[in-house]
Amino acid sequence: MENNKDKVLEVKGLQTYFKTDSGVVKAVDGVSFDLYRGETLGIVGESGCGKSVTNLSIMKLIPSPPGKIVGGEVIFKGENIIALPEERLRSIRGNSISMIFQDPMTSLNPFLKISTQMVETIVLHQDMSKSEAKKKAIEMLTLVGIPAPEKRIDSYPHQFSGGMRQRVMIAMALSCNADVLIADEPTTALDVTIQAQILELIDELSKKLNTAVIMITHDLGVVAGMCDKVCVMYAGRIVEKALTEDLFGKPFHPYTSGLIQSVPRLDHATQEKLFSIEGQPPNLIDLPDCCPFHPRCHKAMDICRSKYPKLTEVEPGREVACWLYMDKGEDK
Amino acid sequence: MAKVKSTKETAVNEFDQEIKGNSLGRDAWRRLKKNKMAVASIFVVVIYAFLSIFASVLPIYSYKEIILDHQHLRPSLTKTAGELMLEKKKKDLYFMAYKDGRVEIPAEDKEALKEMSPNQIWAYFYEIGEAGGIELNTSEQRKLDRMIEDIETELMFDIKKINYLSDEGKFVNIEKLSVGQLTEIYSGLIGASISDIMVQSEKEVTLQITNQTKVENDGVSDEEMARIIANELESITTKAKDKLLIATLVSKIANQVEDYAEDDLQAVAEEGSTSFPLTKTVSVNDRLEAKVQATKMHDRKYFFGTDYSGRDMLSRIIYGGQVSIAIGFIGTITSVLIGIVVGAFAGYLGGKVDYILMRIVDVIYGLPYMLLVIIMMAIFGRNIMNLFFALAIVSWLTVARMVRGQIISLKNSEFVEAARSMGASPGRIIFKHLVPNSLSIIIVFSTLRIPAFIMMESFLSFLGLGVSAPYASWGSLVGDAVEGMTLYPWRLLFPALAMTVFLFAMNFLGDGLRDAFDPQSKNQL
Amino acid sequence: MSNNTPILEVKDLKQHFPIEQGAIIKRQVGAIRAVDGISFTVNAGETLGIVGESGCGKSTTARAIAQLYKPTSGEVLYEGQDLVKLSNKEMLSIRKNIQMIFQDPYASLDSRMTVRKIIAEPLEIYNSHGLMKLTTEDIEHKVEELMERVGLSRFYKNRYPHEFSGGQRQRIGIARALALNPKIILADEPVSALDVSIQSQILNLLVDLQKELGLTYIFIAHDLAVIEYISTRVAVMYLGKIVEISESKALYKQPLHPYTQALLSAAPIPDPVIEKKRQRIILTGDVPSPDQERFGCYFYDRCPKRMDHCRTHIPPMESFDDNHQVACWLHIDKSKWPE
Repeated sequence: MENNKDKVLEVKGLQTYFKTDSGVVKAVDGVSFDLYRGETLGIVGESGCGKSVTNLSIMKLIPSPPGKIVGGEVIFKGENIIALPEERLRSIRGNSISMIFQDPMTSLNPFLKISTQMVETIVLHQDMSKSEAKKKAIEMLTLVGIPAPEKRIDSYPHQFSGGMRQRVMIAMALSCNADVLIADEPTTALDVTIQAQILELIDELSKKLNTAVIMITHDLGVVAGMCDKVCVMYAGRIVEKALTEDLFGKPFHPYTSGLIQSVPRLDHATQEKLFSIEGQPPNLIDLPDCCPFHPRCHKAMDICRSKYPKLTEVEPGREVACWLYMDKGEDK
Repeated sequence: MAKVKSTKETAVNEFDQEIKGNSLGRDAWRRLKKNKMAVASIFVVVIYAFLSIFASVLPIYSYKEIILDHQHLRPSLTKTAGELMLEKKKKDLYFMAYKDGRVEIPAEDKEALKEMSPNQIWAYFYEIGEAGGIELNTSEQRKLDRMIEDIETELMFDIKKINYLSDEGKFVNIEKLSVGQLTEIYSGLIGASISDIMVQSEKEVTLQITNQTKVENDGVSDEEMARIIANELESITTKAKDKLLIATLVSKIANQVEDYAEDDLQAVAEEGSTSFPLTKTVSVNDRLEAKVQATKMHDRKYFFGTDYSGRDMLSRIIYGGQVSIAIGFIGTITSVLIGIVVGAFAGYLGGKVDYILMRIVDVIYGLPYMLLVIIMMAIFGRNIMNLFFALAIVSWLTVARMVRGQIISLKNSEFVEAARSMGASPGRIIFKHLVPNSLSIIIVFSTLRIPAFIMMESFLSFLGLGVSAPYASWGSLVGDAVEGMTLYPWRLLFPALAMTVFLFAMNFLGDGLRDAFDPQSKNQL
Repeated sequence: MSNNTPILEVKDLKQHFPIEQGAIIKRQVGAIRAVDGISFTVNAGETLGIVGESGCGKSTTARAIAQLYKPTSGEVLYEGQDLVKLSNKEMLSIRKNIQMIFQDPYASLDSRMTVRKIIAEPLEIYNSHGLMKLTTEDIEHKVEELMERVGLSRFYKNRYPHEFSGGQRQRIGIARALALNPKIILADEPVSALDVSIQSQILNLLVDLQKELGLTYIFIAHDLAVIEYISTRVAVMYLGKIVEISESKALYKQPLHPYTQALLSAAPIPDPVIEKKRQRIILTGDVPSPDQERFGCYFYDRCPKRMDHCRTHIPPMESFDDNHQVACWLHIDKSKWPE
């Protein structure tokens, strides 16, 4: 069913390594996924699992050195972004692919008015005059629900509250009719009530503008509410990929199921002891060639300790990287 | 809950790989070791420190030994002082001969001479002279011959030890004898009466004290001076006086011994069959004997040349470095300690304490600090202690401000709140938590501060306000050298070079430390 | 688990931070009303959850209880003794009963100290004041015992905090808080900086410790689900005021205050089926700044059910039933409304 949709972004075997004093950190090691128009893809995982690095690699924004994209392709509209020259990239960044960050203050210049920053972005990427761009900016601010945008557009970023700044960021990100919006933990720094506002806004706008969204988050609740498809990442690799309903309904990978069970839930009180995954996420330096989850996995087998399980399709539209679901004879 | 994974004494990670623990400090050290410039700088600084600390036992000539014959000898790795003296004398004589019109040179050379520096002119005539192109007259030749002879034969004596055969039949070092015994020995040596010697030595000691007091109390009126001196003479203890008397008498005896030794050894030197340096025990009389080392005075080599009174530049630079580096380090440590205490209290306590302390800092900051140092040096007198004290007093301000800022930014962090919630006192919080956490910045700052201190000291010494002879510092050496800069460039070049290399090393080390401590450069994910 | 003997009582606690102006002579021009008159009791052995958005004063409440700030007014009674009035010395002898766990596992441990030093610090402070008499070996034993208790290998004791992951560091923080055998632990967002899988480890650890040691928790969080899991009673704070305080189950079953209702409906649930069906109450606007005095309901600006009366009258705390109190005019009979 996905085939008749329009594929906007394809990530194939992306590998991003960081060189450090103590060894090579394989922050992202062979990540692949497809993104279709109008769809929201969630990338979920714990800190250090490589979800943010994946997103920066897609935009080729990895600080180098120490980081380096050592392998893989990011195909956007038939072009491999990784191989593009810097100039061409600049016209894609913020235009065709936009980003929203966790802390909007880091991406807004505190010394410039909102109007200046927005107009600049629009003029840079679109063939518009300044007055037209300003009109467009006001239109976008109205769209993201900023009250009295004609007046507020001449304010400085610090005059906005956290939630409002995030709205401004979304307005800027969408002002150039981006095909892909990458939201990197867009609500982590916000309060619950504000988070609800922002998530609803992103959802509504992406439907309206038919934008594909990559939602990077550690919050399973956000994924459940927002995303059509989910990739679960662990130690730089995708361990499970599925439709949201399937994933939450019947998680395959022990890590996914552990993750879902270890969140206390509002809808039914957890009387018994909360489930928890023992141990710590591994250090990504010099990771041995085994399933990185095996020391914490209660279903670990001998093969998990010696060989890494490849991401394999086990049901239509469902992929999982776990020896439990693999025919041992077929892939030894 | 994580189980105890291993019963081994070493910690391991999930994959049973061993992991080593290290502190932030060790982490920084590891990063510093990768910085080649910083490591080279550490080597340089260590070498300097080594030379300064062990200056007194190094095989170098004394930094205050004046040999007037050796004035302004150029640096040479191979030639001895004697050869250089001769060369200098010859240059002089050849040039005089030219001045007298006894030398014919081509016309174009004559023109060229006008463009040449004195050193080049001397070199030019020396070349001609050595090739036999200049005839010296008899008196000049005689002077030269005498010089050659002197160079061959003049000895220097280093009296290692003088022993006296005591009544018990043992040899004792005369420095351990009493005033009475020494007077007796001396009277035996020169044949004067004991009472005369006593009077004479007393006089000398009094003069010594008077002179010392005069130097210490510069710029007082005459009556005042007389009063101070009288006071000083009155207050001196018998023990201290005896010590001075012993020193005077020992040096007198040593002079006598040297005369004996000279008589004894000069003949040997002139005969030319014995090789020098030579160590010999000289018996002055049946109860007095001395261990003397005799060296040929002009056999010395001056790798860095000599200064205007024939002192070895190499040892002056090393001893000057000792003073400069000591002022740099001690001054920095003092100023940093004052700065940490003031800054930490101002920053942590805040409010009125902070306000008052910082206004004091502002006021002192407002004063021109060089002027302040100069005034202080003028008031308290010119010596090394006062110099570094004056510098430390004006330079804790920056440290205090920096530490205060650092403490303010740290004092609201959670680990400080945690300490407070456990009941930790302000003193404990400041010195156990806040200061250690600011230490990396303080270390970096101090490292970069040492060169600044050395520069300040050198600047003062250059102006003639700092260290004075016979002590030296890099600054005073450079200051002294400026006069004869074109004629004796090595006197300027070597101390300046020594100082530059050290300052460079300190700066590179400071930069390296900053990079090592800076969490930004921490390339960890 | 809990009996009804109050161990800690907070009465009309106010914590205002002055805003000062002037270069030399400081003059107070206003105040940030971080905590603006709250009262509650904590019973021995229970967990009181305090929930609210950032800036609602929940962390300030914890710090005011621990006397890290001197409260502007009000009383904090620990076993009947008013902590606010105690001298530093008297406070020190009580401090060991009230210990804190902090939010940020990275900032709350001194990075220049080894784990051993960090955990031993409270013991050393008490030793130095003569309030405890422990030998070096005693301390060493105690540190090892505490480390094992919170699930850390004792072989880690000579390592530095930066060599641990967030969850392990939080365990160190917990061990430090337990060192003095406290009765009450003030946990200020202890799990909000942690990853999901680690968060449940720490929550379970806290629950286990409570059972074993009979601890009383005041547990602060912004995550409603976490609060529900761990708390026996819950207080909801908004802008320095408690708007609702209740037995945990009752609150989640039947939230009374419009703010509590909005909070509950805004919190995402990790189940796509439920999420798709949910009707959300989306609050408009942001939390106003707490720098001015208010004369009406503090929630008036954002309340979806506001009435004219709310603008001018501060609602008092009224009991809804035995264990459920709410500060909202909606739940107060109109006949009792003041003019």
